[in-house]
Amino acid sequence: MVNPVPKPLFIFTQAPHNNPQAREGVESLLASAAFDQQPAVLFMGQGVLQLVPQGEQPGAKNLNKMLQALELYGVEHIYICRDSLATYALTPDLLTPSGQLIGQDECCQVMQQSQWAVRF
Amino acid sequence: MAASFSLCIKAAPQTAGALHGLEFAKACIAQGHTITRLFFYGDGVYLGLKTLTLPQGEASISQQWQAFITTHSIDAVVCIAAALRRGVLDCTEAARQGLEFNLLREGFVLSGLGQWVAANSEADQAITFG
Repeated sequence: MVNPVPKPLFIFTQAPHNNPQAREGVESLLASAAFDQQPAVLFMGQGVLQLVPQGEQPGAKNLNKMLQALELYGVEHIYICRDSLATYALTPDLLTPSGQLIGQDECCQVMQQSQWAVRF
Repeated sequence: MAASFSLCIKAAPQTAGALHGLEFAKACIAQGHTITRLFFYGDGVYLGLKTLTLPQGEASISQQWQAFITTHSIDAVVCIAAALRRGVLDCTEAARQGLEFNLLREGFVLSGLGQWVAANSEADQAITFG
């Protein structure tokens, strides 16, 4: 069971460097957290790749480093889709930040329990 | 019972998302609900781009958004960070670059993500398109 999270939910589904969507998702999540809305975040699909520490991308801010600031911003609920990790042959020890690994049923629960959700 | 809605439009012009958002917003007003704020984010900021020009015979969803916004005096905020990244500058931001033009449609204003967060807190429902 997943603890109730009646707050905004940010769902990240994009690989880190495909397009600006991933970055704009993280920026809006940090804004929500900075305004104390206590957002939760769910990484699924290609979005789990954002959790892998990356080398420097020329000319861009390091997205993974921004994600490492989530704790600093008070984002306590970080959910990671277990099946998506398996798709990309990732193991939890490779991920920063880490979070709560959940199955697809629990992903649905997290979405249903959120006040509203936005996908990037 | 009347409700208030905060809408975020991330869909680029001439996409289904941009049209669905517009139709939803129109339906809100038609049924007596209120729109707390429209927030254009991601590629949705192009909906506020004045110079967007379509071939003849193609209906401009951006123009329809603008008409809707001005007719009903709706607060329409374009995310400033996303807009600058895509070259959608109003006269203030252009001046900052030493340029003299305004690419932002009338009825839209540039502002920060805080406007979106605030609208989501205030409104009964927050919905995203695109």
